Amino acid sequence: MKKEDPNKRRKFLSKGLQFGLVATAGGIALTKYLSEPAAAESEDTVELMTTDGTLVQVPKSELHDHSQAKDGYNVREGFPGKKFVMVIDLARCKNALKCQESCNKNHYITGENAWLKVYKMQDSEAAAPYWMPTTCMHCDKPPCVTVCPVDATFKRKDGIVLIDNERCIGCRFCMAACPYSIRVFNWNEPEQPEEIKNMPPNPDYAGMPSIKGTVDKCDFCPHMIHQGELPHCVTACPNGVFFFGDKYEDTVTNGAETFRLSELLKNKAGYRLMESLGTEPSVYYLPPVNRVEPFEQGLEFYDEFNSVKKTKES
Amino acid sequence: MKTPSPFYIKTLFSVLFALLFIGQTQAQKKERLRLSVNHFSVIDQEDYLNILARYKGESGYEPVSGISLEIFQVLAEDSLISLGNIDTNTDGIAKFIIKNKRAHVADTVFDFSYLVQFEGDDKFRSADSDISVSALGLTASIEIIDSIPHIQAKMIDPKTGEALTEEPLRVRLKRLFKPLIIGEDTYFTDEEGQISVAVPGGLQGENGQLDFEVVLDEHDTYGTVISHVTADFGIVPTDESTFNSRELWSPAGKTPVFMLIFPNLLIFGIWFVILLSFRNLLLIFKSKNNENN
Amino acid sequence: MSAYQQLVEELAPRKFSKAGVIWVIFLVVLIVAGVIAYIDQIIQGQVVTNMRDYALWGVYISNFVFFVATSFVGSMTAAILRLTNNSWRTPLVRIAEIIAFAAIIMAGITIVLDMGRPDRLYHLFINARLQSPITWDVIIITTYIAISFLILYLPLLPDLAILKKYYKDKPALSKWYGKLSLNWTGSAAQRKIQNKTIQMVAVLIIPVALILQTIDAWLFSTTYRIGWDSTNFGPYFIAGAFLVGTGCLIATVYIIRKVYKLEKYITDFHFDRLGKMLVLAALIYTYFNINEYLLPYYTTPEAEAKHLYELYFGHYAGMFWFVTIGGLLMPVIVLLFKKGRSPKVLFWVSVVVVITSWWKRYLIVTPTLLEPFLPIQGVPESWRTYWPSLHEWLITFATLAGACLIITLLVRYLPVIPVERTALEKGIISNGKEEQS
Repeated sequence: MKKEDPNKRRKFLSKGLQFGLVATAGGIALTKYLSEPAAAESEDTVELMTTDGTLVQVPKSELHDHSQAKDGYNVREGFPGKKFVMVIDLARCKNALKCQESCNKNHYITGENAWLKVYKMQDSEAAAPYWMPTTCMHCDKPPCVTVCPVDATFKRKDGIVLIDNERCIGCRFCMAACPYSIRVFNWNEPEQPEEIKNMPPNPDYAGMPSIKGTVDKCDFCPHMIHQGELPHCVTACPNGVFFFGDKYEDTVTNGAETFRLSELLKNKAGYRLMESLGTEPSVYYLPPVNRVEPFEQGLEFYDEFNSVKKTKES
Repeated sequence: MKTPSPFYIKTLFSVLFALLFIGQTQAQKKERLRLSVNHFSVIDQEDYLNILARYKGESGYEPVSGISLEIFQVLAEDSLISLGNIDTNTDGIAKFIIKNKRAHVADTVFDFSYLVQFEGDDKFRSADSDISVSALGLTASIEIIDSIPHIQAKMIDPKTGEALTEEPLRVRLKRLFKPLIIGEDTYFTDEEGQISVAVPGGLQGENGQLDFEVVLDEHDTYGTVISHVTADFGIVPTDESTFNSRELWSPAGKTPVFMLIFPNLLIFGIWFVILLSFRNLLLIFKSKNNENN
Repeated sequence: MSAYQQLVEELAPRKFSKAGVIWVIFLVVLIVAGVIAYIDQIIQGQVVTNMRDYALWGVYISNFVFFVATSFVGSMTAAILRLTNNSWRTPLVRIAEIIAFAAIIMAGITIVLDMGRPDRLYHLFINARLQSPITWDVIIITTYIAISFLILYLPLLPDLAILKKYYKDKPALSKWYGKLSLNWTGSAAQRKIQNKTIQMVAVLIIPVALILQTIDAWLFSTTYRIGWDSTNFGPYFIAGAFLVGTGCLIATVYIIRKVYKLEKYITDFHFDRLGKMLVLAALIYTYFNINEYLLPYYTTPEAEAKHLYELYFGHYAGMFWFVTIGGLLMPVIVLLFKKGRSPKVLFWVSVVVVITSWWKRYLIVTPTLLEPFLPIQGVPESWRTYWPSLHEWLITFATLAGACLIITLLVRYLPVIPVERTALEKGIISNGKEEQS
């Protein structure tokens, strides 16, 4: 029998050791990877898909049951002693569309027509073009409410016009009556996640869920006002275009700047859209003078035929 | 000296490599948590810490929600005493109201020191942030000068009673979402540590109540200090809503009067005739041929 | 056979011929196809139509307006006859009443087909808002159904009694006619009640019919929309109803006359008169069209001018001129001549009038909706136009078939020409007693 080559043994051992070390390191790394998803389930969460196709884990505590509100709050009367107004500064709007994205995402809008649309406007050929975001005007003389045959859409004391999606019969007369083309219709079953579809409908949180065969529109986010927060479009805008507040306090804010409403409108010549129709909108516009950014910047994001970004599947 | 054999070199490198790799996997997994803490002192009400937890994600700073933080007060010789725990909300913010703090320590630069500590979890390394503040005397009041109400405030060091001059104060009116700034953005205290700001007319408030605040914002020594003063010379806003009146856009129960009267008259009139006609049909049915054809 | 017996023989309802059976089967097939399409619409939602957020009303609504308009002439013909005793209308009046009744029922059904949530129909009654024009519509349509039933049924009673005797050898049928005639014996007491009631209803039906057309118009003119926000709309719709109703009446009378060989009772004279009525209706409607579509050219806001341009020269020009020339100009010209008022020519003219009237309602509904105040942006390009989908066509034809089926069945079982009254006018009987010839 030949004597075993000591070098061979050493080589074997060294290789074995190296391999073992690497394997151990890899094994540790592997267990880390594998254990991660398990650790994430430590809190009671729910998996939801957002409108842009990403899966998010949302803690169950964050899914608010908005049917509960403070005592004495009547969803058809609204917040007592307040009247909500919005001011949109057209001089600042550059069509970033963050407002539309936030509104679509937070209301789970999955149709082909957004509730908040930013129009490319040009009043006449020689006039300058500008971007004009439109929300529901929450008119003080709402033609939509006047024509509703079943009291499904209603005007509250706090100025907000809402829709009771459990009452709506889908006649679409309100859509014909609105001169601002604000309202959208659920022509088919909305493609919302199961968790959203099973929520009890609540006029204070429009679109949660959306119901087939009924009308939807911007709601001025009463669900955010309940928490003392501004509507989603106001906070999402990177340029501070949207101001929101209580007319009885004569104050509006975009989250960063706060002004007296009467002064703002006087100093910047605020006006309302289609004033001569006599609808008395609650949304004021500040004219597009001394533009912050040139109009052309917004063309990059302008999509003439799409206002709701679809998920990757569709 | 003989150079180490290839065996040793290889093994050494393997060990180093493995350790580095293991170390990296640990380090790669855990993000760096950034805590920022501000101290708020609301005179005659409460003191609290406003804590923001964030991390630097791919597209900028992201809030960290649902993590547990422990708050300590730092006493002499760096001894810590726990004041409690709190979790951050969806925006990564935690508002911790300070209760049961110990008396301030003499002979130190600041009166109170706090430490906010995060133990670390699977995703984030442990982190902490400290803040130290001293107590401030800030009083706010309302004086009528030349029949115009003025908000007046005085800033003093409570320990020495000395007035604090050239400090920036701001006067705000509490509103529903964000407060409205009264007057200029900043007023500097004069030699007597005072400011006086005229209140513009026409301010509206529920029941005439106006809740003013005099604010010292994020001072290095005192943190943020707020002093409230309420007034009742606000204008009571008139209810503009048409909710209680009979309008075309009112609910079914509040139909305009002319719409209640005229259409209903028409309907009842017409249906009276229709129902009468149906009754007559019945009469025809009932009448037997009493008379000959 | 006495003159009386001969009269009854000629006017009594007859069994369907082979053509009649095929006709009924054809209608039923159309209806079934429509029902299937509607069920699919319920399941999938109204996405199966081509209506979208801008063209939010489509053929269902224009069809609805068409039915409401058609139901007008029945009442007017019946009411005017009853109140003026103008005898040339006698052979036509029951057909008119039948058309009106069928049309208003189909109008009620058609509007439900357009609802997004028909399962919540009851809200229209228990939660109704009186301020809404739709509520007025619900009220007036229900009222009109009741009234047009009465004006059809009340004068029927003597004829039903006559048929009961005529079908003596068919006991089951005879019994039904007897029941429906409410024990009519022609006694003085019964006649008194009947006459009084018919007078009441005939007077009432005129304002109700006018209100019905006006409220139908107000569904559009109570909005701000260009092309709808017009003070002209109420009378415009009344005139339109007069035209389409007369057209329908002529076409239906012609077909029934041919099928039941009623040339002896509905003569060239009647068609001559009807033709003149159609010309009158067309002229009045032309007057309103001039007010609606020609006058605004003088001074008009830009949006109105654009709306008119699209109708005259733009997107809808083909349909607009087809409707105007075919439905207004052509009838007036053709019917000014005596030859034009011969039954056959008049029949084809009235068919064209009915078809163009249907498309006219499409022109009232769709172009306005596709020209909102704010530009159409942020929605798919297909949303800028509207043409009905297959589902909409199937359902529309099903409702038209439904109206035809109601008319067919009523004509099958009821005497289309009032028997007793005809006999009275021809002097064959008097005071309910047969004259000895």
